[in-house]
Amino acid sequence: MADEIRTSKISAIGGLARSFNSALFSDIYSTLIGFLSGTRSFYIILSLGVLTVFVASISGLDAMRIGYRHAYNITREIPWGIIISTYIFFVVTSTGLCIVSSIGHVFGIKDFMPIVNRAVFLAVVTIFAGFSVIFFDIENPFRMAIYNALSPNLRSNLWWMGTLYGAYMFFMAIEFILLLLKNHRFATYAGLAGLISGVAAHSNLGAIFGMLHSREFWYGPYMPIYFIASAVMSGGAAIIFFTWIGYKVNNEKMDAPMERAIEVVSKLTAFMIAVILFFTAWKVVTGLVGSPPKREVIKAMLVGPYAANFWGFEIIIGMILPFAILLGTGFRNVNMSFLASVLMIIGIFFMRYDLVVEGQIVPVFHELGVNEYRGLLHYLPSLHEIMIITGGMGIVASAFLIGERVFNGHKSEGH
Amino acid sequence: MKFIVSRKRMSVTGDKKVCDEARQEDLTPLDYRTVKSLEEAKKKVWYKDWLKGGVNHREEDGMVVCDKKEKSRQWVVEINSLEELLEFQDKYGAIMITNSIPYKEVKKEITIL
Amino acid sequence: MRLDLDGLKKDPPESIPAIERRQFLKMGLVVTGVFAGGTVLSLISNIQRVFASPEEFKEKYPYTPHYSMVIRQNRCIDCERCLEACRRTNHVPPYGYRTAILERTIPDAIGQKREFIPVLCMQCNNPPCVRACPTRASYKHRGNGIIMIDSKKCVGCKACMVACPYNARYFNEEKRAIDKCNFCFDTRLSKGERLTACAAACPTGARTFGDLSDPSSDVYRMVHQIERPVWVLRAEVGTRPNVFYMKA
Repeated sequence: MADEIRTSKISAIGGLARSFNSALFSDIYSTLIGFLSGTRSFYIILSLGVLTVFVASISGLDAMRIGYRHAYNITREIPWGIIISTYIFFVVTSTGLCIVSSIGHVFGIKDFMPIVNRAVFLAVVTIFAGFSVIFFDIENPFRMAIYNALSPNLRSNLWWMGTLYGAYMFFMAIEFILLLLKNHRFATYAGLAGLISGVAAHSNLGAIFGMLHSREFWYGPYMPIYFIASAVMSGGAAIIFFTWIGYKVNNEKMDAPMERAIEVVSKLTAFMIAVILFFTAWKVVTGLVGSPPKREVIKAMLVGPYAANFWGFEIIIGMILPFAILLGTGFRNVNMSFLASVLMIIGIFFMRYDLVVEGQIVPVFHELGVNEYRGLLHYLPSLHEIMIITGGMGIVASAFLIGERVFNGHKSEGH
Repeated sequence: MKFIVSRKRMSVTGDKKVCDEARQEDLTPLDYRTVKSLEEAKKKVWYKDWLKGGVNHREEDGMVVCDKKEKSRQWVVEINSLEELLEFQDKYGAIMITNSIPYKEVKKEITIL
Repeated sequence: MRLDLDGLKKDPPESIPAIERRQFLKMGLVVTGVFAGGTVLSLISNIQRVFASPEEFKEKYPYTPHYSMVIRQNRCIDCERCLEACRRTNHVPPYGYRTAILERTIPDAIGQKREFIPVLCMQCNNPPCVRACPTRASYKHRGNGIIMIDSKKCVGCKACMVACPYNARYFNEEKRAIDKCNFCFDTRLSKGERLTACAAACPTGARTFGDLSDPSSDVYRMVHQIERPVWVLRAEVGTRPNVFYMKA
């Protein structure tokens, strides 16, 4: 009986899978894919990517000129907006790519080996995109370079995060170069150094939020743990996403070891979705009985202004649907895994945005009951902010496409 | 028949001998691309690299394929009968036979679990 | 004050007449027991009640002078002369503020239904902003405990703005740095003035500024009395502020 239900479920999603490849879709699908690898079209997409980077740089410089206060919708009460959340989105992805690829490259699990080169390359690209985006949020980025070294505050998570991510980017770049030189022994050491600094940096990023004792919604040991867990989830999604597109760009046939790699990454990703769902559930449940400011945020998240983001994007698009797709197809349908990864990446972007903004919507003096801070605060990104984060995505897209061409589909040793 | 041989948990440096019978061989990887004809391939962004990187370009199984010029060094075992295979399995315990990355000389891979 | 100790005979503190106990309380002492036929009287200080945490009392006041402000909330009439004085003295731009006056309306209150709560940087003893700053641009002054900004080191990451439980910080575009109340240290205190601009400008005495380490100062006496409650804002955060609130 249970088997029958299971089979029927699988066939229902299998049907979805077939329809994804069936007549209606196949035209659009093959046109898209043909477009991606066709010479002229490839360069058109690449130029579009470069163009967004260009427009973003103009927007960023313009914002610098007129002042971030005018260009961005950030305020005294909500100083961190979509640029910070997108920075987190990129570095979460980067750390995740590093962690998942290290399973193969540092710990030697064969199934994960085929994805290593592309993942390491993209880890460098996404962290660079993250730095580029946050460059336009920090008011004096050049001072940061100087005083980070001259006047470090060792009690500041932000200092550790910045410094460790600097080291991380360096190690990952070295690892990628060594992989290209096929110097696997030293590449492994660089990978291990990258992994350690990446995990330390990323948990410090979580701790920036987790150690703000004035912000009930963030405070606690939850954040660093949650950040690492969601990094693995994001990394898995990014690997499936970019590997699939990479193969389409090069029109390569996915061979058995690569399919197996996508399968195990899909399994890991699905497992991490379950972990994050579990985390989220308990975050909500504990929040419901927490202090009044925390309850306000949870209320805004569940039934208030952020309900659509939370239920629609974070839970359904970001986790439930991909989980159902991955489980339903038994992790073996590469195209469906790709579809799941697309949904996840969209959902995860909203997760980061909500995490950053929701922590600030309850005014600090809310409980004082003063007229000025009775309600919740509001934030919506401005055009400048949206252009800048689009530029970050443009960096990843163009660097990815250039990478596919220059490094020829990221073929690794034994693959 | 030749098999690529590997272990589930690999030495990351890749230079350790996988098993007693294994010997290293330079194999010719096949570079399949999922377009139907050579004509179509000419329009693609990867065409020049693919053309330069290999020899004997041909259409096969609804795809185009070539033999890569750059050889790939792999650990290989030669097993020619079911008896030999069973003997190999007895010696190393659980093994898994899968399709390998496609080479001209070898199509299957034995993974010692 | 005269106490009739000879009249106390029994051990339990309950036996002390209420009027005597109240006298002790006024001195900031709590009677915990009377021993040995009234010759030994056990008294502990009651001061720690008004602090955010007991540790603060133990540490006493680590700075000399230990600058502090007591805000007598009921005296504030929202004339905003303090805000004006602050702007002029510290060149605060129109888009920001170092101190503000919040308004609370309680519709079902009997009589007066509105009150005003002046807020500023609380110069916390356990400041979240200082910990958050990556470059030590925000720091607590070793001498007087004021939270200062070293403008040239400020990278403008805004972490301190998010960290502050009192919304005391804003980004000042002219300085290219975070700006906040520093008890007029650079503009008045370091030049020999005794009061901050806001305290000097207040016509009703809502803001009392002084040195908490000096027992003869007004702020010390206000904080160390127990007849009227003294509180701090958002005590639950554990920042141990040096700005106290009371109604007197």
